[in-house]
Amino acid sequence: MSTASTGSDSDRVDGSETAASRNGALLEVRNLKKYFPVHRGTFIRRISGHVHAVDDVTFKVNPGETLGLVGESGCGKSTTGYSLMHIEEPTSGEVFFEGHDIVQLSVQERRSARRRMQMIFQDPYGSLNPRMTVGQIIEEPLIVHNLYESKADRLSRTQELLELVGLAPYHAARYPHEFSGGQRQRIATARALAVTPTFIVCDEPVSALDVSIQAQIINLLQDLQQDFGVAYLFIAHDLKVVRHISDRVAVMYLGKIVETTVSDELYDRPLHPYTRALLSAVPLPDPDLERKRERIILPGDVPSPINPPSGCNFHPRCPWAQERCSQELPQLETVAPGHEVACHFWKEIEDGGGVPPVSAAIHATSTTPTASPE
Amino acid sequence: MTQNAQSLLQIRDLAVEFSTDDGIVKAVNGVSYEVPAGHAIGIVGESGSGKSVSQLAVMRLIARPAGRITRGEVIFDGENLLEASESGMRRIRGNRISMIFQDPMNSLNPVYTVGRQIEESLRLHQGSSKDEAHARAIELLDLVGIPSPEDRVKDYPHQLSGGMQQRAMIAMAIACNPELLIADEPSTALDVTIQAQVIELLGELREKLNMSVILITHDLALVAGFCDEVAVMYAGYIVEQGPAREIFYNPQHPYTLGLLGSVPDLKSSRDEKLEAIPGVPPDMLALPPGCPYAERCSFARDECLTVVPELQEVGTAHTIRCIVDVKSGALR
Ligand SMILES: Nc1ncnc2c1ncn2[C@@H]1O[C@H](COP(=O)(O)OP(=O)(O)OP(=O)(O)O)[C@@H](O)[C@H]1O
Ligand SMILES: Nc1ncnc2c1ncn2[C@@H]1O[C@H](COP(=O)(O)OP(=O)(O)OP(=O)(O)O)[C@@H](O)[C@H]1O
Ligand code: SF4
Ligand SMILES: [Mg+2]
Ligand SMILES: [Mg+2]
Repeated sequence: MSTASTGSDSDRVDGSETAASRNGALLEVRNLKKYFPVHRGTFIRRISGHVHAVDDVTFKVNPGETLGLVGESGCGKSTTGYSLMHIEEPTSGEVFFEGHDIVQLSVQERRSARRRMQMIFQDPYGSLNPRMTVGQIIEEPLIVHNLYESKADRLSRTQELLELVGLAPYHAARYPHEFSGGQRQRIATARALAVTPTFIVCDEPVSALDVSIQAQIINLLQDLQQDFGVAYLFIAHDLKVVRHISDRVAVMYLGKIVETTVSDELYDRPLHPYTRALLSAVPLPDPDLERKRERIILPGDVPSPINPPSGCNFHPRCPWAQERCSQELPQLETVAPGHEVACHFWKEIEDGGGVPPVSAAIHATSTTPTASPE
Repeated sequence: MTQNAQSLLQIRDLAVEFSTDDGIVKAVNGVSYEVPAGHAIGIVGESGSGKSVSQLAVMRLIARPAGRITRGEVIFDGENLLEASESGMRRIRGNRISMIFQDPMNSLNPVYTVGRQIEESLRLHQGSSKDEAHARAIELLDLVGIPSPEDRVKDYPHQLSGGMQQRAMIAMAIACNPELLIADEPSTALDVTIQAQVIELLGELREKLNMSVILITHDLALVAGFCDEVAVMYAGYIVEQGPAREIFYNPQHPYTLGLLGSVPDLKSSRDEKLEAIPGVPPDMLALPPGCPYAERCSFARDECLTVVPELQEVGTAHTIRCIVDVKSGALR
C-alpha cells in the first residue's frame, strides 16, 4: 500500500512525532459538553431551557485503535462527533489531538490538524454533493489542502483511492445518484482517506445499508485500519457491529458515558444496568438460545434530554434503582484496567448475578406482566 | 409450511409486477407458503426483495394501475381473496386480517386522536356503540402497555413517542381480534430496548388472542425467537423456507448462509473477518434469466445462469431454490 502515502510521507512523519501526548493518546476529550438552547414564544423568543445533548463526556482514542460509541437514538453520539471535530462549537470542554488543545492552535496548525481528522457521515445519500462527479468529490480535499502540485498527480491519487475502497477507476466520471448505498459509503471513505488522516469519526457508516452490504463496509474499514494504522471513533446503535469492530466500547445514555470497557469484557462482564439491558435486548440468530434467554425489558421510553432526570439519569428505567440513585450522580469509577462504570450499585448488582429484582419483571405498565423469567 | 388442511392462509404461486417509466419491475415472482392457525411466520430479506409487496397483495392493496397481481391464489379460510369483491375485502381487512404497515403514515391519521381511530374501526366492523367503542379503545391501549390510557386516548399521534405510536398502531390492528396479523417491520425504526418491548408485546398478544402472525423484517435474528417458520426472500423469490430451527441451524441456500455470515455475533473476536457477500442485489427491472443470486454466489456454476432453480425439498417442510449442495459444492 505504498501508493497511498504518495506525496504525504512528510506529513505522516510529522503527525506521529506530535502524536505522543502525555499518555500516548491520539485524541483526548475532556469534560465535553454541548447544550442546545430551546426557544419558546413566536414573537419574543426566549430561551426556555437546554437540550443536554452531550453532558460531560471524557474519553480517549489511542493511535490505530477503534473506540466504539454505542447508545440509543438521541443519546448524543453524533453531537459528540461533531463537537470534537469542532463542526459544532462545544459548550465547554477540551479536545486534545496529537497532544495539542485544538482550540489553542493557530489557524494554520488547526487546518493541518483538521486534515488528519476526518469524518464519514451516517447518510450515504445526503453526504455527497449530487452535482459533483465522484472523481471531483474525492479530489476536492486534495485541492483544499494543497497536497499535490499537478492535476495529473491528483487524478492518479484519486484513481488509487477508488481502487483502495473497491471501486473502479472509471467510476470517477459518474455521479453519486448512479451508485448504491454501499458504494456511496465507499466513495465517502475514499474521500476521507484522501488526505491520509490518522483519525476518522465514522458516524453510523453502515446503519442505512442492508446487512449483506454492511459486512463489506465493515471489512473495508478494518482492512484500511490494518494497512494505514488509522484510528476510528466508530459510532453506531447496533451493539453487535460496534463490538465486532471496536477494541474498546463506550456506552452512552442520555448525554453521558455510563460504561467503557474493552470489547471482550463488554460481553463477559457488563456492569452498568443499561449495558446489561442493551446486551439482553440484542436479537441473536439462534432460536433455542432466544427462547431461553432472559431479557431485561426496560420500562418506558428514553426521557427528554431537556430536563434529564436527577441523580443517575437512568434511574426512572433502571430495575435496580434505589433512593440514592435519584439524588446523587454516579461518577465513572475504574473497576478493572480499562473498565469504567458509572453506577452506585454495580458491585451489589454483579454480586447478585445481574438478575433484576422481582419488581423489575413488570412492563411499562402494571397491567401487562412479562412472560416472567422462571 | 406443510400442506396442512388447517392452514388459515395458503399462498400459491403469487406474482406481482409494476409498470414504471423504465420498464416492468417483477417485484414478486411466484411465492408459495402456508400459515397454519396460531403460527408465526417470519419473512426476511434485503431491501427491495418483495417482502412488503407480497403482503400488500394478500390484503389486495397493490397500488393500481401501476401494480398488478399477475398470477396466483391467496386462500384465506377457504376463500380465494384474489377473487373476492371489494366490499368482501373491506369486511376482511382490519377485521379478520390486520396489517401494521411499514410506513406509519399509512396507519395513523395525524388529524384524528388515537382513540377516535380505534373507535371507528370497532364501530365499522363490530357495530359497537359509541360508549362501548370508547371503553374498548381505553382497554386496548392499556393492553398494549400505554400508561394512563384514559388520557392517552385523547392524544393525537404526534403527541406520542415513536415507541408509543407503534403500540397505538398495534392496538388499532388487534382491535377486532384478527385471526391473522401481518406486521411489516413493526420495530425497525425503534431503539433496541424499545424494539425488545414491542416484540415481547407481540408475542404476548399472539398467545393471548391466539392470532397467526406474519412478521416481516430485514433482521434475520429478530425472527429467531419469535417465529415457528421462516421464509428468506431474494429478488422477489422465496429462496429458502422451513422451520426456524432448520433455517438457523441447517441453512441450505447460499444466500441464507451468506446472510448468517454477514452479521457479527456478540462473542466473535475482532480478528475473525465477516463473510461479506460481494456485489449488490440485481436490478429488479432486468432480472437475469437464471438464479437471481448467481452473480454474488460463491457456489455458482454454469448451470445456475440459465434457468431459475425449481423449489427443492431438502428436509421436512424445508425447501430451497438452488441446484447446488452447499455441503459438497456439487450439483444436487
Ligand atoms: N442542532 C440542534 N439543536 C437542538 N437540539 C439538537 C441539535 N442537534 C441535536 N440535538 C438534540 O441533541 C440530542 C442528541 O442528538 P444526536 O444527534 O447527537 O443523537 P444521536 O445519539 O446521534 O442519535 P441517532 O442515533 O438518532 O443519530 C437529541 O435530543 C437531539 O434532538
Ligand atoms: N408502487 C410501486 N411502483 C413501482 N415499483 C414498486 C412499487 N412498490 C414497490 N415496488 C418495487 O417492488 C420491489 C419490492 O418492493 P418491496 O416494497 O416489497 O420491498 P421490501 O422487501 O419490502 O423492501 P424494504 O425492506 O425496503 O421494505 C422493489 O424493487 C420496489 O422498488
Ligand atoms: S446508579 Fe442506580 S439507577 Fe443508575 S444504573 Fe446504577 S442502580 Fe440503576
Ligand atoms: Mg446520530
Ligand atoms: Mg418493505
